[in-house]
Amino acid sequence: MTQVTHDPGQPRRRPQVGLVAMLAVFAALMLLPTLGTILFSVSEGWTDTILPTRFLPDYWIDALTDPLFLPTFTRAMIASVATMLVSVVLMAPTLYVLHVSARRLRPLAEFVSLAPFALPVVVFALALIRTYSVPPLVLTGSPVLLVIAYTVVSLPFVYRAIDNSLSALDTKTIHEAAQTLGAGRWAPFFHVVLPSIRRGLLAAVLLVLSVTFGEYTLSAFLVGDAWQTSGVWVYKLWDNKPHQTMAVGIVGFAITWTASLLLLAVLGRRAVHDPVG
Amino acid sequence: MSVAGLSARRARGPVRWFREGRLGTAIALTPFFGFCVLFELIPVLILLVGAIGGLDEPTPKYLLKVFQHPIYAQSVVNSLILATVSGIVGAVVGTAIGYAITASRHERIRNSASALANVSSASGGVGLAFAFIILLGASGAITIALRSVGIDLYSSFSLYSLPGLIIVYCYFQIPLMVVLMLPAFTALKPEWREANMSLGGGGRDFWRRIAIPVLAPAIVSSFILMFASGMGAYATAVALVAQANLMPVQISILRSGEVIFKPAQADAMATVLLCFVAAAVALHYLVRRRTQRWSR
Repeated sequence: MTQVTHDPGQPRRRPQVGLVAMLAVFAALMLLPTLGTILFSVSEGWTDTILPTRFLPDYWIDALTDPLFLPTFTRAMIASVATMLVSVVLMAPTLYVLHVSARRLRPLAEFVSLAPFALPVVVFALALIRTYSVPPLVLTGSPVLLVIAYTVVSLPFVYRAIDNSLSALDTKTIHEAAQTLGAGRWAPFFHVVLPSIRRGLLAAVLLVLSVTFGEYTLSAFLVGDAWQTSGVWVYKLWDNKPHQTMAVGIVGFAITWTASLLLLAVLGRRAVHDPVG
Repeated sequence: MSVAGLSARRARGPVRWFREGRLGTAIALTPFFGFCVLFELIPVLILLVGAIGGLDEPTPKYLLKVFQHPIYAQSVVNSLILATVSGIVGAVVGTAIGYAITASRHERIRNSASALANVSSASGGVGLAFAFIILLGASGAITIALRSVGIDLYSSFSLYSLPGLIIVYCYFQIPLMVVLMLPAFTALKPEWREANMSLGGGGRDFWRRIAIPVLAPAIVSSFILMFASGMGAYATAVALVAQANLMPVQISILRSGEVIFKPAQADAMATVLLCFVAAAVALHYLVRRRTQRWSR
């Protein structure tokens, strides 16, 4: 470890060569798989040479015109968007009520919302299959079960994002002020609280997108080929068409990376100064 | 009028509930708690019951077999090694990178490095495994490059082995550690550095007596979380080695294998994995409480 780099009293302007070099190596190593993926998707052969021998767009054209490309990516997007809707509709009113009139239940709600962190995805998938592949409620193979599962695994993120916004807003005071003015329970929620926490809601849905889009495990276990999503398709494509797999993989990555970067822009530095969001 | 009459009589039971709005509260909270009971609690309970072979004749034999059967026991050991080693590498490298990001004077470097960590921490899975196959696989680009300069990587290494899996796992563990450590480094207050200076302490004292003790709970709690994520990771492992002898892969084989179909054994394996991961996550939260003492 290097010596202390600078002290506030007498700022030394020593160039941070070691530090910058370390970060550069980190960035290079982290970007290596992505770079390899991109190169592989546009290169011919590359099975017995260090660098590709020829670049060509054929694999991209082949992948994007594959009859399964559009349906599987559409299904993945439908599942993610449905999960966003279910998550917000379920969690925003719940957390509002927990903040204004059921504060004693908040620790319990927090526990059950964070519990999915402790549930390995394979274990959760297996538990859902055991429960919902037999009557009275058969849901396996149905996208409904996939959206439910996605909602559960997104729960910790959605809970945190919305709960933080509501805490920063001092929701209880707003609620009480509205009551004094004769409003009902839900009027302040729709007219004041929801518009004020839109940044937190945006963070929540972006988190859902980055967690669920193109997801493989739950998709493969719960719906499989009955409702094939992009994650399952990409996995299967690899055996016959590795180059094309990389092309569609990049499309999938691009969507989740955009979600992550937008999320950073939404929360960003403001997360420190302005906790609303 | 009737309202005044009611309050004069000191309403009880459901009536009082209704007037205080508690009925409304209960109705409003029903969807959420109902959802959690239906899709969290009941499935996990059914899994646990399955692991003991049903409630009619409960038996510990399936759970014991996880540790006794040579293949299952090996999968437990492999998973523990993979999660621990990738967690330790992630903790050490991630802490160093987190420090480098925080200490960097250039805002642009700080921002882009933390953005990279944020994006990469979510990039595990099938795509990462395939990318590694084209780079470090038996005929991957790096493997061939090394061979051309006379180094035969595959004489002592294979991507499709435990060391290979560890390298791939580090690719999501390290950025995850960076993301987890950044707030902890920000919580190191400049005043402490000044106090250390004015009391005659040097850089070494600052690290040994202030920074490390303050950062330790964050490092430990983050390591535990990485251990949990390494234990549970499935997609990355199965895309790299379809028959990898790791707990999550073994669960999937037991569930759907064409030759072997042993539902109770799959449930037992899943229960053991759940215990490991749940214990780790619980410990993570306990340790992290100590961290948060310093962040306000």
